[in-house]
Amino acid sequence: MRFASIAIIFAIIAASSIVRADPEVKADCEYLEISATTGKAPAVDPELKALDKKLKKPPFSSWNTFHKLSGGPISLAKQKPNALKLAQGGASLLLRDRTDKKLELTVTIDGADGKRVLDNKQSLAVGDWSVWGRSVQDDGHILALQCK
Amino acid sequence: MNIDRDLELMEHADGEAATELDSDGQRKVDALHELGELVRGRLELAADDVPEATFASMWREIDKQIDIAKPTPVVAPARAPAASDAGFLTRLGRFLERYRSQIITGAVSAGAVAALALILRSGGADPGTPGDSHGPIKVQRVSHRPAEIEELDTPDGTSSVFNVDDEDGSTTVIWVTPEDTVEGI
Repeated sequence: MRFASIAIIFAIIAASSIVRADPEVKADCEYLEISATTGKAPAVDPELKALDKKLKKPPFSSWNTFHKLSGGPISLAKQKPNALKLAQGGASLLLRDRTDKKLELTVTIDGADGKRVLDNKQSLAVGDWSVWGRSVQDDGHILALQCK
Repeated sequence: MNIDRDLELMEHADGEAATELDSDGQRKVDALHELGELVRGRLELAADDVPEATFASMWREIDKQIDIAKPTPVVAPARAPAASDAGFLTRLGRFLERYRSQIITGAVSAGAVAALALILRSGGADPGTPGDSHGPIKVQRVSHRPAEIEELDTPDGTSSVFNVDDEDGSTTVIWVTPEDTVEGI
């Protein structure tokens, strides 16, 4: 009987360790760094098609020319900061947590001079774009991020 | 001497024959039954004449003979240490034999708990979380729900938050205007 009790205890410990072993929490994201300027004729890079409709609305409607400066996929692991080298400055992205519907992010953006421009914590819906921008003299500098 | 006839009579005497007997055969069968009764009665009387003590001694003798005929079982105490010449496998086998029911109980319990754990794990895990074993990410877009801004710090500027909605979903835009620009306006 004692042997059976020991076996059951070991089984419970092993099972609980299986339950506790969380799969790695991560998010597959895509970012776009965009410059917003005013030109004679409106122009939007084809690579910005995903944001084309949004770029026609405020606050982006102040400009009519949008070019992609950098971009690409980036994978975020939970609680592991990712440094993002931008054409104009830099950014860091941190996935604090996620569910199948929402993501909790911390985003910081630094200007080309290295000064902190923005520090933001937000939770956004999976699949939605989130955009951070700043005015640089008469132009705009935009960072857009979408995560799944 | 007719052997077949005798066999037939014996079968009738034992009640095993289905055929009818002639009168002569029937008389012989009846005589056999009567003789059998006489022998049985005589033996019963003889048995009654045997003294009780004699009968008991006879049974003792019979028991002794049975004991001698049987192989002597190896009587070992339940938890006695294994014999010095016994090998590891012998001792292991003896251990398994001794705790067979406990081992089976433990194994079944372990299996049941492990199965329960796996069920709980597959049911409780976030099915949309990447990296798990549930296949491709199932994205459940929640349309037109702006991001929740928990903290926003813009050291050298002012911030404005816009929610840009369209059929593709909701986009939250945080726009930072440098302080010097604000002053210039």
